[in-house]
Amino acid sequence: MEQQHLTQELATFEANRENLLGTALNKYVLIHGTEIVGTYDTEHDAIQQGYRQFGNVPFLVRRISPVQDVANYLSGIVAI
Amino acid sequence: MPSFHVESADLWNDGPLIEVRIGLTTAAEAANNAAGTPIPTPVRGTAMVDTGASHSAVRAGLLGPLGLHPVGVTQVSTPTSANVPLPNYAVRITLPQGWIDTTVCEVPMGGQNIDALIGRDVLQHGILIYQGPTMQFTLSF
Repeated sequence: MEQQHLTQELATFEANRENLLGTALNKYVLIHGTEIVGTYDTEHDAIQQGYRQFGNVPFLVRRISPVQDVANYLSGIVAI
Repeated sequence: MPSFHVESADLWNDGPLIEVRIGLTTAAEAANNAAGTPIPTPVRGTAMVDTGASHSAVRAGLLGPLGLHPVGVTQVSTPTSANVPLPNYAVRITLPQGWIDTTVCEVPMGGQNIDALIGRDVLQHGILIYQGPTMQFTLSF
């Protein structure tokens, strides 16, 4: 269920990618369903707004960047 | 600057371990209060300070009792996999002195007796001193 919600938000991001890159590069976008709620200077601010506006439900906060950030784990502890 | 110091019986084999609590952020607590949902008790666990981790992470399933929903999707890469998409969650990590809000993914940690990794997303705010000969480390924010 969570991935379904986030799938919609991710699709919304992709549909608006070029516009977001052109207007809010390196800011953080808050997306709920098909709604682009706004862009924020920090991930923290975007997440706070998400909770404030929608409550404890799935929403997407993502940095507006040509290349998506990657979490790297080098030690081998993470068994993926 | 808040600081805590750990003396380890076997820092070389065990690594820099600290006891942490992982719970809701203030914003999530406010959302729960507004919805009449109880605030869950933070989950306790053992975390390793991992300078090889770009982001903090928790063992898969650890966040279940907190009732959190994802706030994003992170591409995760390890020595054996690349760009695995995983949901991430906004959490408050409480350390022996102080706390920090960040986002974490739930990841499998195999047979390790570790519940979380403290990554560079947290360490970027502090100073880590690792004293091998005396098997001690200090983390200051």
